[in-house]
Amino acid sequence: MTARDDVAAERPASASGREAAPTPVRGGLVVRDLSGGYAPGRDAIRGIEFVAEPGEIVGVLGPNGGGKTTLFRALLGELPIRRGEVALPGRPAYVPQTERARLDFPVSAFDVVLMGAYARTSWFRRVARRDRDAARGALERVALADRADATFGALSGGQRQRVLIARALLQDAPVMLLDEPLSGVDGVSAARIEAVFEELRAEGRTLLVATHDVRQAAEWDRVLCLHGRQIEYGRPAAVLSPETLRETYGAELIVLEGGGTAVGIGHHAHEH
Amino acid sequence: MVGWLTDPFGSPIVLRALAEVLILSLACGPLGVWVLLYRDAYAAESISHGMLPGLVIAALAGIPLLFGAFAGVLVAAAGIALVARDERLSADVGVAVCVSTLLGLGGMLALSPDSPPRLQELLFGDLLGVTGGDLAVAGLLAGGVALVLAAGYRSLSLVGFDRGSAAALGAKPTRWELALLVVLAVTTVAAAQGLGNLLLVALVLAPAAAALSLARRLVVVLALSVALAALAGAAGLVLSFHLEIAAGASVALCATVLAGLALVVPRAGRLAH
Repeated sequence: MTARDDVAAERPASASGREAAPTPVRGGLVVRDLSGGYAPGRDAIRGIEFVAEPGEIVGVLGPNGGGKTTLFRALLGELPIRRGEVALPGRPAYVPQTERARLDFPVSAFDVVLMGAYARTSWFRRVARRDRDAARGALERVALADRADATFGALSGGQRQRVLIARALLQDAPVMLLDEPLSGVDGVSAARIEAVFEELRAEGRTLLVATHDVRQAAEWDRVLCLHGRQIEYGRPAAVLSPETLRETYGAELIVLEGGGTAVGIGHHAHEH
Repeated sequence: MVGWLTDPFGSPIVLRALAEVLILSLACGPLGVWVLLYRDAYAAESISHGMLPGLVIAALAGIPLLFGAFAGVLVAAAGIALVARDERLSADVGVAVCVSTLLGLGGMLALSPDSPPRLQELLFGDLLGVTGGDLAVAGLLAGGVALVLAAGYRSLSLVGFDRGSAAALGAKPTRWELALLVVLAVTTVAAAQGLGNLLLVALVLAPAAAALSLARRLVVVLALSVALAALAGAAGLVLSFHLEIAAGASVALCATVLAGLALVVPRAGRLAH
């Protein structure tokens, strides 16, 4: 029986959830019976419960407004949690949807990547040489070393996404939360980003990737289906049934092929 | 030619005025860049205009303008915060109503027959009337502002560039947004004596707008903004000396002309390519 399987078995009988805080599984991510939201008395996410181990990529599926970004906020400690617990092996890194970053800000790609080291730099010091070298290394990993001096706003959408991922790499976090990193990026960028995901998996980091691409999530280690509440969590083969997807996406789902392959479309920007 | 440039500064009055604008440039230059990047230009205008009643009451009571400015800024900020809570109005309507009311109230007080004829000085400042004590106070306030902006450089850029990720990267968005408004209020108070509450906005916003259109890196933008503010200050004093026009207005005019040039020049450069 793996540690993952016994979360359900070990779930506290009382709903207080105040027993011993769950210990991270060898540096993984443990979420137990999590509910919370910004508006008082209204939970944006309910009953989230899963364990993601080091070296696992978790695809987070759900319609717009389904709670993907809200879950990330909760894991970052920025959402009022009403019930349940989160155990993290360290401060997670966060990669926002690219359109959230300002295009008219006077920063180069290198400047943006360097922001990943700000939390460990005191205000009166220069960013450490080690971190500057690491920033150059991070740009190389996303194949943008030659664009280091380019203004962030002048890069293509896919390149901007790669710069934001390089910034998260510099944070050197055990858990990384990525908000639709593959939405609307060009083929070259998507391939590079997926290659970096593989490297991060090999390094033993845990990745939570919000996505609308069901086919892509099917290739990762786990899938978490959200529609306000948690619909399902587990291995893609077990989770990605037409029934689960219908329950997750509701009216946004269009089934294209038979044989259990389904593609959710959901690029309507309702939440912006 | 050199004499034409240096002549004005033979007088200790103009020399003190120069010291005042250089000190103010140190605070206004970088502050303006952040104000524009945070899209707070409207707040800058509102805070400085809204403090007029405070200035007028201080002038009528014969207490230092500095205290009147502080009280005026506090009342304006409280009024704006109060009106902004009314959900029937959009925020900018609330601010506009509040600021016009305060500006009108200030004008009414200043123009009453009992008032000493000082409204002009309050609106446009009295750059040539700056005393040693004024310089010391301006230096203290501007130094504090420059220090806070230097200390907050990285946090302000995290929040300004990508607010949603700022907390994950170690900066508290609400704290720094508020800090910027406080710094703006302090700068407004510091600059009111020299430039008046109508003209000081020019020294905050115009050099910053020019610097943002000329440079591509934040550090360069901030340095350039200080340099342009200082240049506008010095040029404004020289012009006011020779053309015998009001010093504060001349400084404000030079700052806006620089901004206009900076906005046009890069565009012409791009067209040439």
